[in-house]
Amino acid sequence: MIRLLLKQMAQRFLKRKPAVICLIFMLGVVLGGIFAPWLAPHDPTEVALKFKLLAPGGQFPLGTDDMGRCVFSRLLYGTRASLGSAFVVMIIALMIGTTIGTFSAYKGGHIDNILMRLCDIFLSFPSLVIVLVIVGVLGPGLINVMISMILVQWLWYVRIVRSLVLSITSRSFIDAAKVAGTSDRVIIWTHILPNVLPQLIVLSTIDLGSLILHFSGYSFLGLGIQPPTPEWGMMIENGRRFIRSTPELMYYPGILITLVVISLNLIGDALRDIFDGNYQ
Amino acid sequence: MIKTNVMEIKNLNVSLKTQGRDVPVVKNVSFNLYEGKVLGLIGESGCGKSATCLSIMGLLERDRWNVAGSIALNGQAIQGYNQEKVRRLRGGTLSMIMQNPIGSFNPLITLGEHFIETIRCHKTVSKKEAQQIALEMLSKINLPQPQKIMKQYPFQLSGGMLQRVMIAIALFMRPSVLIADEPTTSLDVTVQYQILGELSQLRDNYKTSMLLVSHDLGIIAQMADNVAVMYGGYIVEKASILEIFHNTLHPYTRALMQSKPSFTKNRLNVLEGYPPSIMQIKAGCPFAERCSYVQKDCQKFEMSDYDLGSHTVRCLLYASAEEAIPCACS
Repeated sequence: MIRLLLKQMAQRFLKRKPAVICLIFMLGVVLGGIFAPWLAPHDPTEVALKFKLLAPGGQFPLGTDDMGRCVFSRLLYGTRASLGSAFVVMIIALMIGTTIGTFSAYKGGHIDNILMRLCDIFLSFPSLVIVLVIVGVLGPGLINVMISMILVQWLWYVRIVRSLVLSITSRSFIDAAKVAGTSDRVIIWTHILPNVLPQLIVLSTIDLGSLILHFSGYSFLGLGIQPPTPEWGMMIENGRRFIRSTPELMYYPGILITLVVISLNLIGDALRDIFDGNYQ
Repeated sequence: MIKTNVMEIKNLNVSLKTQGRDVPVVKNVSFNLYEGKVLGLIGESGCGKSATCLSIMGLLERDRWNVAGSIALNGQAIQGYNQEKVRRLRGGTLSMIMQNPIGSFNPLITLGEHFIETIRCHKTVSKKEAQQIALEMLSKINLPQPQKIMKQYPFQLSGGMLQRVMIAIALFMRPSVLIADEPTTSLDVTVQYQILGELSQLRDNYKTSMLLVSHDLGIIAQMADNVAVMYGGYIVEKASILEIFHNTLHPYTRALMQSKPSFTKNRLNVLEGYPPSIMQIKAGCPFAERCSYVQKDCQKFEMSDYDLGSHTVRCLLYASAEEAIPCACS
């Protein structure tokens, strides 16, 4: 039964050509990142000034940057930092947000009120300001940016999960479960969370795109990963100085970020349509 | 035959906490449930029937509702129980069937999983044993192919079948009290009578006492041994089924009886107006505005239950002279 449903969903997904193309592209990017050590023609951090600012071709598929490092290799390795950290940030924020949001919505009453007002207070600051303050205190670096992004992001998830859980809790099968004497733990795990999950998957797919954008943005500002570790946002920043002579240095990572974000959005949209179809 | 008292509810008051003041929804309701007997609870929508059921089940949220009065199950007061103890009671000795069978199942899991999960909340059994219990229950309520049903999802079954599954889930622990809150309103008539037949059969087998809530007089006439009529949060008349139908006393019950369609060509008598809103609180009888027997004292007196032997009525018509004491507040 479940298998049949999954098959139907897969079929419906395959009908959406743009989403399928995006999915293949994303798979390629992710695999490229995972297998970067085998795929990359050069060490991404190897400086060779005699090869600097070469045009694409020969042993450097996409040319070299100002320090003679292979741009293609740097893009491959950059996937790990950009995609990987955004993914980790999303998962952790989602877990915290889901736990607190579910708890708050299910308990209701004063606890819910207090938690939501706390969220409101934090949400009233622009997220960029909070990240800047936290990184300013902790100092720049990958881990610190990730921590500050999680701190900003989970608040949104709490809000969203809470409203989703509230809408599920008001359905009568929750009452029926309570009437039958089901414990709160079982109600949450078998009745509430599985019903919330599809929306959360859609939400997190689309959010992953915006997280990558933010992450690259912070790297561009020099807050995130420190050189020489490759990262897409930082590569744009590096290329900025050579915008007149070799603008490709900015184009490659820029185009890659754009494509990844667009892909994630389209995949998320397709997933939403599929899940919605199931509920109708 | 000696009637064994299973559940005793005394002076149950339920009020909704709103800003400013509490709005009473159920007022001074008392009744008993006897072993193997059915108490029918009838009344228009908004009379407090469901609130009564939910307060017995302990499902009204404490920070929004005030529940006062005593509810005793098998001689033990369950009012003071904490949440965990009440939860163990629910589905165990105290079960309930909901109005809407289709909405009462989680669309994502199979009926078997619903069953097993509920059984395992009450009994420490393995999944296999739980499955065995479930199959047994399903075959008891005349569902064909219980094996297949266990693997199906709620949307694959009709409303009637789902209602039977719900009854099976409600009864596997052999509860001593079963509350059926309009169990057949969303079903068609033929299925309705099958379900009622099964309910009364199970009641005879298990000696379950039942609180049957309905607005269908036909169902009540078929099922109930005793009837309580609710209006505006009060129980206005309470008697055995024969008394209610042959010796109707309260004007509201009379009006209810008259608005039942019959196979004659006479025009149906309709009770004009609506039940009073729970927000407005007035002295006197809540039914006075719509009553055709209304006297000038009806809205002045604070009503009380007048006991006429086999019958309890909350109406001034049946008050003897010394009982009719004017309310101090008016």
